[in-house]
Amino acid sequence: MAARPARLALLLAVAVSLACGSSDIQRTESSAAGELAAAARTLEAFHQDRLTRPYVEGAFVNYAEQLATLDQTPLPGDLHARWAAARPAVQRPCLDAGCPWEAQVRALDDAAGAFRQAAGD
Amino acid sequence: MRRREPGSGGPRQVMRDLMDGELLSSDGRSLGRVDDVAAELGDDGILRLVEIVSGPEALAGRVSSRLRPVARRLLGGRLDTRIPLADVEEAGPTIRLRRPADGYRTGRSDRWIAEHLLRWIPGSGR
Amino acid sequence: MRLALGILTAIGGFLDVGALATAGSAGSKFGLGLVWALLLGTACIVLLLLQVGRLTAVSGKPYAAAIREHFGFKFFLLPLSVELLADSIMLAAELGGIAVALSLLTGLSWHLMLPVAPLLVFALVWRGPFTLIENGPALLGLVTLCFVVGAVAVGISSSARLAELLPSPLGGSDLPDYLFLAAAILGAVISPYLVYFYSSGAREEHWTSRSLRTNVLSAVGGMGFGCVTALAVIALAAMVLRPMHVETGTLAELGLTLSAPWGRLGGVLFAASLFTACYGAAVELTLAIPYVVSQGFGWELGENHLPAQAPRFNLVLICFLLVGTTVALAGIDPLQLTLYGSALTAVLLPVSLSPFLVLMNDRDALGERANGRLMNAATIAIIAVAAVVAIVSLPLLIATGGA
Repeated sequence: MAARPARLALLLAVAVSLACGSSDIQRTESSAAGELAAAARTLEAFHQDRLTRPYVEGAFVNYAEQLATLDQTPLPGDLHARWAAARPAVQRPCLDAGCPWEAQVRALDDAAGAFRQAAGD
Repeated sequence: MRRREPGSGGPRQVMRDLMDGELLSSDGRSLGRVDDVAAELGDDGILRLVEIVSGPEALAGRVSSRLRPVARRLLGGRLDTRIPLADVEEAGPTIRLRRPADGYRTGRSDRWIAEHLLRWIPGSGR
Repeated sequence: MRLALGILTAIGGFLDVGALATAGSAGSKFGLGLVWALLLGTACIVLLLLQVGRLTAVSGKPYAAAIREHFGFKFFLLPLSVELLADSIMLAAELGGIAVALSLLTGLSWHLMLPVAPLLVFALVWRGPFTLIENGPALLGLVTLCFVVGAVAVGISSSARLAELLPSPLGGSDLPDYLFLAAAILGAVISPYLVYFYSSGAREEHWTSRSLRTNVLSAVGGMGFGCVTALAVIALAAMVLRPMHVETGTLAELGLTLSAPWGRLGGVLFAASLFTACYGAAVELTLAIPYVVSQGFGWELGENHLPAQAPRFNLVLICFLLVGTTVALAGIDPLQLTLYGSALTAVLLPVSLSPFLVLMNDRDALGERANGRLMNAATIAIIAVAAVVAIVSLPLLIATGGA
């Protein structure tokens, strides 16, 4: 009686969710691209004196956490290499004077671009 | 603001008006709600409302009749407050009782919670 | 300061981690493309608060009490369970937001700051009288005006930025994300805990039929303030984050929008705004559940008493704060948790809102102040919106699992 429309609705919900949109891997790549870009911009902003040090330190904890899943995700060779190059920047962003921060920003931007392309954005 | 029906003997209350109503002691403290009412079939064959019941056992019974014997076995009537109808001074969405909070089990168990559980937290006012 | 109730409800209830997270995500991904959801949600919550304020002022019964008295205990268990589930997650998200804000100010990990958050909330709700609870966070919350000022500053500074506001055509893979965010926005803005808290506040302040003008000012003014601020966040995210290809996956990224106009001060202002918004909401949530439970069971309400005088209320408060803290300590990123919690709220909206139609037409309780035809039509529309959102959100919640 009341069960039949409810069962139908549930079936519809599952069907829609299976048919819908991007795959899991695409979503991971897309969000990784966003996080890497954010990390790059944050690091850059700090060295351009537009963010305080505590802010950057606090922010990078979150970036590192969000990107940590990439270590468990099987990535195609190119992406894997870019992520390996960018990882030290995410986990240990250099915030002191005279450190190679531009190289880190480049590595982050590189990786962000590659992931963005892979996700098809 | 319940509607009053014309007729002798003052306003008539329907079960729905009584059930789930707020219980207020004479000193203005909230004592719970009307979770159930107890009626008795007198010798004269007339069914009369005898008590208001408030507490977890009564509530369990309202949720499902299957819970009623379980609740009775677990709680044994110890946690429910039974209020004789004579104690009701005024009925409506809020039911005013004649005695102060301490005169009822709910008021006393409130005190128990304050004295035994909340006292460990600074600033509770105990 | 009766107006403060509306403003606090706005800053605490409207502008919270949910509004910030969904607005930030929406702006950075879709420009102004989801503004309609924000405006629709605002209209709905204003109408709901207007009605529930009137209900409590005229009948003297807050929303939860009215539900139990009108529909009985068994029905009451439904909105109660729904509130307990949704609000546990949202409280955890707000506590996480407080922790992130503190971490951006101190440089320490937000995990370390997490235990501090519930202590700060507890300090205010345990002993604070209702007026302090209203006025305190409300005054602090004015700092969120920095979003509005910032949006104007960025918008004026470059016309190229303004172009980012325009939504781009949706590709097939974007649609689920778009719909998910729309649902999340609606769930974040039309929060049932806001309704319960607002009506409880009206009761604590002893509103009467003479308070109806205050009701209108509080609801409209308060929610309007929150809405304008959220609009500013969408605009900022669109203008600053979109060209950077940043998608607001974490709260810290959202602060980049304020460093554009204001440099180092911008980050500090963002952290302060995040703090006050989340703190106000956490306070409201921590109080909303004990209010709902106490009103439902007929227990003494607590905010204008010493804790020992309303022991059950305060016992529930402590237990609920512990539950929220425990969920928060699971360590899920607050922004991700928020998106999930807001979508879940959206799915459960019809349950929380369905009593409205019956309660607002009860002439026994409201007399001539019961709903007129227009308000009833609006309420039916709101419940219809809630039902549609619920049906759409459920598969999206399963599919995208939090965008």
